[in-house]
Amino acid sequence: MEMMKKLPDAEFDIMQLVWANEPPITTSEIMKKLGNEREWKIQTVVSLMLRLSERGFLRSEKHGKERTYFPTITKEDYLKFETGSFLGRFHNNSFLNLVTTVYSDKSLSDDDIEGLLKLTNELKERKREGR
Amino acid sequence: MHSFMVMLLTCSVVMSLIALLYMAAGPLLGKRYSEKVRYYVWLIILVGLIIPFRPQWGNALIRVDVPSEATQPAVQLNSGHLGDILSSIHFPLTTEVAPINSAVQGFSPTWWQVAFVVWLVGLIAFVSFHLINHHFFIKRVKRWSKSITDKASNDLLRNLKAEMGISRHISLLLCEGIGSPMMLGFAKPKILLHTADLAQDELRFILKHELVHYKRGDLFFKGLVLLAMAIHWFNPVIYVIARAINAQCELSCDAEIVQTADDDTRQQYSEAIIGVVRYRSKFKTVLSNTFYGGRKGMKKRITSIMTTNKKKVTIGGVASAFALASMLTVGSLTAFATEFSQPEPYSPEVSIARHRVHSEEFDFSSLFELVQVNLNDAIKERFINAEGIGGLRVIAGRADIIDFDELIVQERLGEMMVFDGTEFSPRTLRAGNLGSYEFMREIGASPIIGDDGEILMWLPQSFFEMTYEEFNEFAELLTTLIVFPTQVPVDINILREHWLTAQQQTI
Repeated sequence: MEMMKKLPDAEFDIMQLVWANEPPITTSEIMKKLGNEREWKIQTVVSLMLRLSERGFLRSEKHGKERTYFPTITKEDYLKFETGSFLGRFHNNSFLNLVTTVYSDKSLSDDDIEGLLKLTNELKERKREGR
Repeated sequence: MHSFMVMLLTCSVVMSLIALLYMAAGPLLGKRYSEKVRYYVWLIILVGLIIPFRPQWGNALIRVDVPSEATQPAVQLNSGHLGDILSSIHFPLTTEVAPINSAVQGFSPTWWQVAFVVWLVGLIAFVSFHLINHHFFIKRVKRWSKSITDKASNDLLRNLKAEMGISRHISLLLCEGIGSPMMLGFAKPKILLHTADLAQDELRFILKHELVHYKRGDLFFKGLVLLAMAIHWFNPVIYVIARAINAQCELSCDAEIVQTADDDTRQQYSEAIIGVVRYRSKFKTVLSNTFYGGRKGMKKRITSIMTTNKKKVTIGGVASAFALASMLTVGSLTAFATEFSQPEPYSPEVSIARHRVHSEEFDFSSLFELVQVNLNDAIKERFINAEGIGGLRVIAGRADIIDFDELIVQERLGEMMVFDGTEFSPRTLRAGNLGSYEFMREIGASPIIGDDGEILMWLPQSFFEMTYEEFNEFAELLTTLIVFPTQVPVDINILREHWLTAQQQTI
């Protein structure tokens, strides 16, 4: 886990399918889900799965003829890892990056957020009384 | 380039001051002017930060090139005393006006050359940094995005677009890991949602928020902010300005959404925004280095959403706000313009070269010495104070008295100089009419007029091959043209012919 590395696009695509599926998953199920989108041969997929296992993203079990795979890293964890490496850099300054956002400033604590919700109420009440 | 750097710094300082003033006046202005007006006033300030540079670009680049070709001839001329003069002239030059004598002393950069290079490198670094960042950001976003296919969300987007009169296709994507909904893409606008877990009401407000951004062209606005930052990267105030603009952008976007809404809707909208803040904060606390600190800004934002009523601003009021901002900005622009729009320095291929050929007829040594003295003063006055080019100028040891417009120069030079028994104050002279002025520039002639009306004419190298008589005749015609431009009609065409012949002979 500490040594987690950013997945290359091909492996990432496989992991997306694994995450989207109720585990376990087999290579042939992956093949089916991939459809014609990527023209991958079964060997390619098998070797990608193998590499993912080596990386510690998948765990496999053998049931008779078929090998089944379980994700060992959740999508959330991986997302945290990958976004952590770029969001820290990007997000506070997202206004520099030619995007418009709803909110891009610094984080607020739970207390602050409660305070804000209270503030909306107060302001509404105050306005009503003022009328 | 020198004046370019001065202008850049002046512009940066002046516009920063205007921006800071504008920010300081914020609470006051907020009572009268809507968030929208206050947002667009920033646009004027931005233009002020960006625009003054454009016309200067050509100049700046050309000026860099000039010295390289203007270097050789004068140095090899008179042996003895000129060498002394050169060295004495160079002393102030090497520190302040270096590129001019680069051929003589090798290249020794001055503060503004260094500053220019540093600035340019910074600009390039800034732009590359942001482009690369943006590129990686887009790449990650693409990798994690999925298009949203559920009908309700897409219908909602379509209806909102229709309501707001937007016909352009805008794709709706889900991108986990961005923390806040956002919109990007100049060519193909996309709205990215941070989570699929949004109530219909929340989604509606979020989409509306981004669509308002889209409709107002806020992405382009942000592009301008980025450009201004790139130009003024060295100025810390620009980052404060960028933050203020960003905050104002959100405030005015919010205001536009709730301007006709009742209090309950406003509360719902506030809650939708707070929901995003909550999601984003939670999301970010899991990541390292979370800085808390958006509270003040959010309080302001919520208060603005809940309480701001449509300002009863008259057209006159809005106009006056814009007029004031424009006046400040344009005023400072004009100040830059007048300060920095000296006439182009004309070809450095002028003047003293003439003396090399005819040194038997004229004894220029005394003049050289006098010029040297005056040059040192002039250099101190004109170049160290760095107001631009004009008056006395030295190029690779050749002294030019140039500039027909700037009568100020005559005061600056002050001292009288004696040449050929006649006293001259080395003033420059206003061209009598446009025709002669243009012609002077064309041939690169520089007249000095003595107080008693005598005229000394400095002519370019192309006159080398003229005989003394030819030269005198020409100079006389030329001076007539200058002194009595209207009384004595002199045919410029004849002069031009003279000039052309002289040039041909040179070749």
